[in-house]
Amino acid sequence: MATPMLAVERLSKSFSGFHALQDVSLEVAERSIVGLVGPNGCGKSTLFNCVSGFLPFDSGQVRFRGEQIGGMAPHRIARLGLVRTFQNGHATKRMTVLENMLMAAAGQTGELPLQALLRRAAIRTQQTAQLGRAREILETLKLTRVANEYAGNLSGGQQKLLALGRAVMCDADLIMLDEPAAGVNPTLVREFVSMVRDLRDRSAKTFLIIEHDMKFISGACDHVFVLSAGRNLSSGTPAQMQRDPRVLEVYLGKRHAAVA
Amino acid sequence: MNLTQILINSLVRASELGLIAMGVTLVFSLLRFANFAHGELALIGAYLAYALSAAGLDLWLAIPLSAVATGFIAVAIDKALFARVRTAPGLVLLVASMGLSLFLKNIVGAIWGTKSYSFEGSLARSFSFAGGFITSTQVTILVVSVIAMLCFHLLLSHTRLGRAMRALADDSELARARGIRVEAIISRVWFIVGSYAALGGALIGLETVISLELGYSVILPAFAAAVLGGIGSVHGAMLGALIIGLAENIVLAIDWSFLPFAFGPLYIDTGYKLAVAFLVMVAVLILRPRGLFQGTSGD
Amino acid sequence: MTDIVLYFATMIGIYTIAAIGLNFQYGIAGLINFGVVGFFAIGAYTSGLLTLAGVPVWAGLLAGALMAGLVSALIALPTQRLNVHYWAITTVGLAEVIRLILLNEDWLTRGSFGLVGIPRPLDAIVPAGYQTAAFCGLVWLLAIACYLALRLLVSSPFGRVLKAVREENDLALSLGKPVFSIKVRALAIGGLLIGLAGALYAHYLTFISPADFLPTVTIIIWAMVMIGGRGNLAASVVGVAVVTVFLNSTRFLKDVIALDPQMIASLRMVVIGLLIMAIVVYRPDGLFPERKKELADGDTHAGR
Repeated sequence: MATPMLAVERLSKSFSGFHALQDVSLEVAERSIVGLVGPNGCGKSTLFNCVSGFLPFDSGQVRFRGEQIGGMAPHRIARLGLVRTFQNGHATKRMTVLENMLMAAAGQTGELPLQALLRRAAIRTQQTAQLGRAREILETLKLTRVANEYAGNLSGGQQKLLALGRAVMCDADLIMLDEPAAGVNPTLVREFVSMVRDLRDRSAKTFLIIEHDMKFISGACDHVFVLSAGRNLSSGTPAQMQRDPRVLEVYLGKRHAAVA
Repeated sequence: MNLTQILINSLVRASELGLIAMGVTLVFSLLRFANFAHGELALIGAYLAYALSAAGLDLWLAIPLSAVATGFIAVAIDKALFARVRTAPGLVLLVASMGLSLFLKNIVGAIWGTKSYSFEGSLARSFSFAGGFITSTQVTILVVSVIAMLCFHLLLSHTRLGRAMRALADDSELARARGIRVEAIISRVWFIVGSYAALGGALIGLETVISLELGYSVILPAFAAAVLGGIGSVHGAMLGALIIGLAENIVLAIDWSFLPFAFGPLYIDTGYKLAVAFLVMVAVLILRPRGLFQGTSGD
Repeated sequence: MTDIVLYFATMIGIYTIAAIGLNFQYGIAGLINFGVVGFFAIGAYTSGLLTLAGVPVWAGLLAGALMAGLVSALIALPTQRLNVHYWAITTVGLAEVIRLILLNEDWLTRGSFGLVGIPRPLDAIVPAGYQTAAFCGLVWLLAIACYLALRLLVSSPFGRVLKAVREENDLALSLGKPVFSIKVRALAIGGLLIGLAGALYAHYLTFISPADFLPTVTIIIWAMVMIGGRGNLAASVVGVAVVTVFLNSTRFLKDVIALDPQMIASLRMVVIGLLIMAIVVYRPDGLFPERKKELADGDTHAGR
């Protein structure tokens, strides 16, 4: 049994007495596309934050490629190959799409001030190569038209695509997408799904995706974990989850409560 | 310098600082920025009180009147400046408050010049008390600030305004959704912090002198007290002010010759008084950024 | 007449170096430094004291710059994780502590008497009559060199990371950028320039005292940066020129208007304060906003 790319074991996190996550576990196998679903407030984003190092957690383990990453700073985790996107996109208001892409590239010369001043030739060559690669990625994401627009001026859907583009540009192995389909029009969602599958098939990327959009989940994911109130509820293929009575109760039950 | 004297001086200093620090912490937690012009509100209060008393008004009238006037001035300042950038990121508000502090200080300077003033006829009588000396001015300061802080405590815990302020500090989105008229609350808060700062300034002027440096000399210790107490906690700010007052007086009073690198008596120059507050604040920020008495997040 | 022009030119040059240093920290990296005058003072006193002790001026200038850069980095290390408000308060406090040390440690700094007779560089090699011009030339040489260096940094990958940190801190972290170290570097670089400016200031005036380094100086340099354009380094010289000319030309007002010179001095500052507030509310990007960087293939140093 190969080591899963990501293994979360009994992760717990509480905020002043409120148990956001309790003993949550999940696994993401290499080159798989895994979904993470659950009603609002069930802890999905908290889980993302804990796994990616943005939030410390109280107990449990997180292993990326077998290596413990609990307690590591977020940028170190990212350098290991785990890149996450944010629900609100974090679009830069005064950096263009291309600048975003160039910035995203990992391990580049010139990010240190002395290098920037002294290794100008190397930086020039590097930038030409980076620009070429960035344009390729933008082309597959259909963002070529807006390459020189400020990221903040893009539509919500385009910003989500850019986030995916950045993750690809920085050679991430595990890409964690936080609600990539939210605010995106349905046609674009279908394209997004095929892009994700494409990246897995051709570029060996692995995905963990938080989503509410069931079409996205059934279209893209091999496996789904369902959370409810901070705990594991169920897991299986998207088709199995859509028939699972516990999952249905949690979703339908919520709707009943809202109506009452 | 004996212990009683240190305590007396610290309490007096804490009273003055507390009135200003409570305003700093309120503005920080409700409007989410550190107001660098807060010291200038104290400055205005001191000068207005002086002007009124020099015009013949009794101190007991001049000071409250100046506090009320400064309260209105604070509201006007908010409407003219901060209200226009209510949704701007913190950086913007900080820079705006910096410009405001220069503006206010020099308006005062343009009107009253750069020399220092003292309240007339404030002959302080000195009493000996438990081994130290306390002046009638200092007693006045203590009494006035205790009353003021009590009033504020009552306001915060027993009035609708107080409840609204607390709701706003915790979660402004939720407060708005519950129908709380945020702008009206903000104006009232500015009135309160303006008048309290003015009171603090006038009391400082009463004890020492009224000079253009008054604002600048209190802003750092006031921030330190607010940070110590945890941003958002007015009680914390008052306790923070007490700690700062004590720290300033103790650090300056003791002989540091016990330190390994000192040869002979070593006293820290009183010129470093501001540095004490600064160092205490930095220590707290590094070790316990939420403050000693867990206020709401200052983010 | 030439004297006045040279005076303005030299002062504008010196403050431009400080302003682009601050603009680098604030406009490019998004860091609030409210203690500018403290690093200015470190540069001034370090160079002043060393050169008075016999060190050659070029070494004094270098030392002043390095010292200011070092202190910037040192203060950043324990405090950079703080949010922007706490950081701003810390820098204000630091500048004030520096001034108090300069004032009180008179065994080192001669306290309020200040340093007198700081040597002018080039005075030995340039014939009298041309010395002020030579110094002005030196200042501008250094200003242009600093500007070019900063421009290079801004258009490099380092500059891109700085902008990312400025705009979206968490985004940069999520892409593997060591945001914390980056901020320390940005502060150190800006601090270097502010210190250099301070050192040049000391050698120009040849006499400095703690009274030259009051918090008002910080606010004035901020006004220069905000007016010129935040994030636009070239525009800082415009902001510096506007403020310098304004502050100095009103000296002549008292011949025209019968106002107490003290009041004019206060009113000058009132106007500066008003300008800052107006810019923040109405035109936060300043007169010349940061220009968008349009990249084409093979393009490396286009833009600012």
